[in-house]
Amino acid sequence: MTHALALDTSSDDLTLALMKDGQVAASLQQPMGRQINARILDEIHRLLTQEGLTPRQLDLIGVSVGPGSFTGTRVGMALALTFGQVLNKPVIGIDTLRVMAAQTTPRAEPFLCVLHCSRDEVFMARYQWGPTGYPQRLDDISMALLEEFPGRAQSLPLVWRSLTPRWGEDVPPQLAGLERLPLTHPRGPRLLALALEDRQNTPGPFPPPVPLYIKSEAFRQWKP
Amino acid sequence: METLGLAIDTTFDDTSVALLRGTRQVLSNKTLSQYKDHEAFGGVIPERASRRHLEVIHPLIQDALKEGGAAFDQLDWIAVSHKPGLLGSILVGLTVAKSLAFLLNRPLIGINHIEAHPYANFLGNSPLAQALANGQNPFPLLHLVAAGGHTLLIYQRDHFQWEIVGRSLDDAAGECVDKAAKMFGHPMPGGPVVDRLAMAHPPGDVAFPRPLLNDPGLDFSFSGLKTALRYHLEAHPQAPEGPTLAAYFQAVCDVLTAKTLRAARRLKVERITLSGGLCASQKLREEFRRAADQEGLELFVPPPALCTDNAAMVACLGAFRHQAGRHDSLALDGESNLLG
Repeated sequence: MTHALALDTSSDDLTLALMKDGQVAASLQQPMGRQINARILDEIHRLLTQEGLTPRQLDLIGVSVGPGSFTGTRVGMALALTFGQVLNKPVIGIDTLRVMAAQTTPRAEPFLCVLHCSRDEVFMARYQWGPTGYPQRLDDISMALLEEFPGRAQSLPLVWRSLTPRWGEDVPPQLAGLERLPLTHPRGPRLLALALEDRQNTPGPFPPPVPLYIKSEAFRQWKP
Repeated sequence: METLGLAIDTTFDDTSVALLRGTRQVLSNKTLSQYKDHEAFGGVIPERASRRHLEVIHPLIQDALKEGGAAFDQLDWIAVSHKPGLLGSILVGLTVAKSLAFLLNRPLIGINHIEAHPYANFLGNSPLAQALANGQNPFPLLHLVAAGGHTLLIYQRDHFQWEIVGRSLDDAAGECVDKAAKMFGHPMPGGPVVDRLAMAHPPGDVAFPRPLLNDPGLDFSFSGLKTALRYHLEAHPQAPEGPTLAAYFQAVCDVLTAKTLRAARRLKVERITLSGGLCASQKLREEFRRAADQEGLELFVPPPALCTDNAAMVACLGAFRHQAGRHDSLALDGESNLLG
């Protein structure tokens, strides 16, 4: 039975999830900001010990590849790739917006996942729940200015979250009219589930994860 | 059996991994320079440097282990530079090192990159390495660390006991040399170009200033010298490259040697060492050899490849720290400031 670890350090939260024997056994989602660097290995150690596992028993590592904080994303990926290298186990990269999509309750229609990433900018992409029971991305992730956003949103329902708790979880007033889908599932376990899903759907060696450094240039070419 | 350690340095724009047996036998020392990545910008872009570190660090570790004929399980300790430098870059190497220490259940040793630079003089069969191996005490030492980011005079009483007695108040000497080469249209790194020209040409008759030379203190200043070159080139657009840069570099060498010797006299130190990228310069080494001979001082200079940023020097200090049981916890964080 599978043991797996998933981690996301691309925002102010440290997000971890541990699977033991194919079941999510423990998870963590805590705002830590700059403290993540100092605490992440202690927290991973705590979860593993609590579940009676050692790192060498892990079969797979899931990691968030962004978009999000560039430095934060690199910390998580540097850690995950080192686990993969030393333990000789696959490292599966999952984008942060897809995790948000997977945290919602399944529905038929496409929806927009939006990550508030700076005072006036957001990362965004459209997703739709697929027949596999997991959401799939419909277009490239782009970065948009908040003020241009309403025109781009096409009145699609919205999943919204902020990279830092400082900005709160409320959507800005200009977006208040759009339908907002709640995040009904916890982040870490969904990241873990997506990583396992991708691994199972990919025969042979899994390609190494690549960090997503989304810049506003991409936005200019974005055609929904 | 002597210990086997792995060290990582990602403090600035070079990614480096080294394997060390004991305190001085370098089994591998792999460094990937990013100069080509930053050439078009005329300087290092921190975000770009951090990205490259993440792309290359894991293959580099694989290479270092392979070349050193070692496997992860054979490592006894992990050392990593966690300050000072570009924080985003440091965090890549630091996270990898902490993960290795955690997974292998081996001690982690956080190293000050600046403190490590002089340890390039303690590697292999160098005189200082042999002195230590023979149980002799080479301390106290005066170190000149001259690189693109720092120009420092360090007084060291013993391992782990050191203080900065002089430093550049503005730009580092290496920066000042790189930018001079840039004014003549040379890409980064400019140091080797300037050094070659300084060796090939007698210094021209341009009277470049020797900043702070007449100041009794031990601090340096190089930004004014850079400005003097700029003004000279504006006034003399046809200034010949060789003699001009030779005269300019002579000013840099004069200040570095004079201040280092002054510090040695003042602190009553008989042994001085050079390290840092600028000390790869043949011209600077010759100037120091001459000055040290005149003054009756012992001078120690590492091979040029160990002057520039490398993980072998980090491993060397790491090995002494491991011997002394000076380990760090997995909560070790990165710091951008030297004195932070």
